[in-house]
Order: sequence, then C-alpha cells, then structure tokens
Amino acid sequence: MIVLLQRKPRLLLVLILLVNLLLVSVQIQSSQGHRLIRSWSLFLFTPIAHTVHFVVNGVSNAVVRYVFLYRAQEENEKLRAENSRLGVELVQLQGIDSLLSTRAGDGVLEERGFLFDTYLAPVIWESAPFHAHRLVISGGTQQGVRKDDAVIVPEGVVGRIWAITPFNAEVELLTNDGAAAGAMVGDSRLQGIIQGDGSGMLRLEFIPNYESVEAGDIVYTSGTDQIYPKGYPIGRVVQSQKGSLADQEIQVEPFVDHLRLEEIMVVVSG
Amino acid sequence: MPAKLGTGIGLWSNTTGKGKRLKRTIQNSEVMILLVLTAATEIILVNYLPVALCLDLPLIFALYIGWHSSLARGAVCGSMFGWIQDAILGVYLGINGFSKTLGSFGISYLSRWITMDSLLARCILVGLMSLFDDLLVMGMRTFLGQTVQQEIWLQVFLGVPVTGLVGGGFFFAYDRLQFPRKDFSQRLGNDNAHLSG
Repeated sequence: MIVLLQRKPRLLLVLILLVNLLLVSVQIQSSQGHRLIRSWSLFLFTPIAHTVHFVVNGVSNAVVRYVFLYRAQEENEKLRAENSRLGVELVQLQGIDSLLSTRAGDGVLEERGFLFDTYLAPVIWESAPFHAHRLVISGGTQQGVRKDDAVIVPEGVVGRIWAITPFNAEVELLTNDGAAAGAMVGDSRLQGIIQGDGSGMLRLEFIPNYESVEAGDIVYTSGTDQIYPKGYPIGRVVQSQKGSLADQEIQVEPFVDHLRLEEIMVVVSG
Repeated sequence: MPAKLGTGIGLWSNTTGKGKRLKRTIQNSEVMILLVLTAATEIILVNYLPVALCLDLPLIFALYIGWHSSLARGAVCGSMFGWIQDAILGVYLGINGFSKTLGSFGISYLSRWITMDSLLARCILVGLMSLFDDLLVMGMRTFLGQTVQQEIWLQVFLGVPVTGLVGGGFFFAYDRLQFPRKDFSQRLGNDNAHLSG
C-alpha cells in the first residue's frame, strides 16, 4: 500500500487533503449547529439515497401498476394521503373541541397552535436504529421545510427536522437519546417533558410524586417547546411509579412505530 | 517537456531534465529534528513572543523538505508540519495541514523542473509560497463559514516578506551546510608545481 502511494503521489496528495478536510469538518459546526461533516455527508449522501429510492420505487411501481394492478396503486396512494390528512385534521378538531369547551374567542386557535399546514413527504432512507435512529425524507427548503419543523403522522409525533438541504431533510426521532418535547398528560393537563433514551420507549419527566398518573393515560404535546403543535398525541403511559426524588418515573410507549414509517408529514407552518 | 523558467534574469536556471540532475534527498533524521525544532519554536513563540508568529517557520521547513524530497514525501511532511502548527496555535486541526500539504507538494513538484542559484531567488520563492499558503488558509476559512478578521491582511503583508527573507536565508544556509563550496585551485596549483619541479 505504501509503495503504491509512493508510486502514485497525486493519489496520496488527494488522500492527505481529504484527511485534512475530514479533520476540519469534524471540528467545525455549521450555522445550523451541527458538525460540518454531518451537513456534508447529508449533502453528498442524500442525492444517492434519493436516486436509489427513485429507481427502486419506479421499478416496483411499474411492476405493480402495469403487471398486477393497473391504476389501482395510484388510487391507493391518493387514498392513503387523503387518509393521513384526515387523520391529522381529526386530531386538530379534537384539540379545537377540547379548547372551545374551556375557552372561546377570536384568534385563540391560531394563538394556541392548533391550526397548521403539513407537507407529505416519503421516507427515502433510515439509519440503523441502535444509537441515533434518523430518517431522511424527500423534501427540503425548496418545499418549504425548515429546520426544527415538527414531523408527525396521523398516529402521533415522530420527531423534528434535524438537518436540511434544498431537496432533502434529516429527521431526528423523538425516541432518540437526547430528543425531548414539551408534554402533558390527558385530561389532567399535567405538564412535563417527554424524553427519548434510544430504546424506543419514552420517559415523562418532571411530574411530581403527589400527582396521579395512571397506566393507560394518553400523553399529548404541550406546545411549550415551540416546535410541536399543541395537543398532538405522543403515546400512552405504560408504567408509573414514585421516584426516589421529587418526581415520578413514568414510561410512555409511543403511538408511532418508528421502524415502519413510509410517509410522514412535516408541519410547515404552526 | 521541462519548463524553462526565467533563466535569462539570473535568478533561476533550468535543470537538465527529470531525474538527471543531482538532487540531495533530505534524511529522515533531519526531518525529525526539524519537526521537533518546529514544535519547540512554535511553543516558545506562542507563549512568549506571539508577534513573531508572522514568521511561518513550519512552512519554511515544510518547503525545504518538500524541495529536497519526492512528491509523496513532500505531501506527507507538509501535512505533519501543518498539524503541528495547528495543534500548537490552537486552530482547527487540518487547516494548516491542508495548505502546507499543497505547498510542500507543489514545491516538490517545482524542484523537478527548476534549480535556484541565488539567495534572492530563494527568498522570492518562499515568499510566494507563503502568500499562497496564507491565501489558501483564508480561502478555506471563508469556505468553512469561519469569520476572517481584517487584521489578517496585516499579518499577511507582514508575514510574507518576513517568511520569504528568513526562508530564503534558511534554504541558502542549509544548502551551504550540506554542500559546502569546494575550492580546488590551491590543490591544482600544488600538483602543477610538483610536476614542473
């Protein structure tokens, strides 16, 4: 190898320059707050992922459409998209209904973040789900997606936009270690913070020991984080016990199965 | 086809072609000594005389080694000197490594086509390489989204001539140390005297 590099000095030069660039990119943070190497790798990798997704989808769609079910696939996609939108609207309406039962007035709905638009985007790539499970979606700044936009599906909250390019974006899942969101418990309106730990489950933090939280209670977003729309379902409490300190230890099972996401919706305006 | 650079003004002389001229190859032990010397000098300058950092000593050494080495060795040594400089100055590791790799590789490539006859030629060459290095570092910082302060131009305008002068002198002195001029006239005279006697 060394002899080869000595015989090919230009190759060695390129390798050394790449090593230097990698070193620098590991240390420098971009304006989005991520390491430069992440932005670069996303920028370089997503076109490949996009192409692979396009080709694979194209081939499979062609087979399905023209061999097995002519036009049925297209119809099915429309229905699925419509179904997703209706699911979101249903959740919105439930939240509105809940709000109107306690408070009425002009501008309340916009103020409380119940009304939002979504952009439906296919998932084109998933990273390995062991430390930081992330998704890459087809949709970026050109489609109105911005960093920190909430990502949802009709069943519940998925995560937020972590890094972005003009045509693609990377989604950080709420179940990832370090991810968090403002949350509240069902009808009691107890507010806390829901946190991921990388295991696929969620922890609801900062709920005092003297408050009552039961298994089966639904946890919603509280909107206090200014990222996720208020009143959107996150998951169901599966275990609640008194903590050794002042707060309870509450385990929440997310409604969304993060390993089986094919399409997600980005909240493009809240 | 080898380029013939500026032979008419007496600063440069063209070589007889790739691989045919006598070219000293710098020893690994010398590289190690220069690396240690770089680290020690940079540490001292950073702590006690920061104003003297306008003199780019790692660049001078990297260029000298590149001049007297193969292309591959020039690139590797340039990168090592750059990393030492980055580590000691506390800047992002790899910025000077990148620029000095290119500089050392470039001068190693140049050394295959030209030789330098005079001190002035050496000073100009090192000065130009210093300017190239500074511009490359600034370009990289701009490309990476780092702020480039206005004072850096002052450092460039001060650093290029200082590095050029000191580097030219270093090239000249080190070459003289390795290849001292021989004066054979006395010896020939004695031989002739002996023959005539």
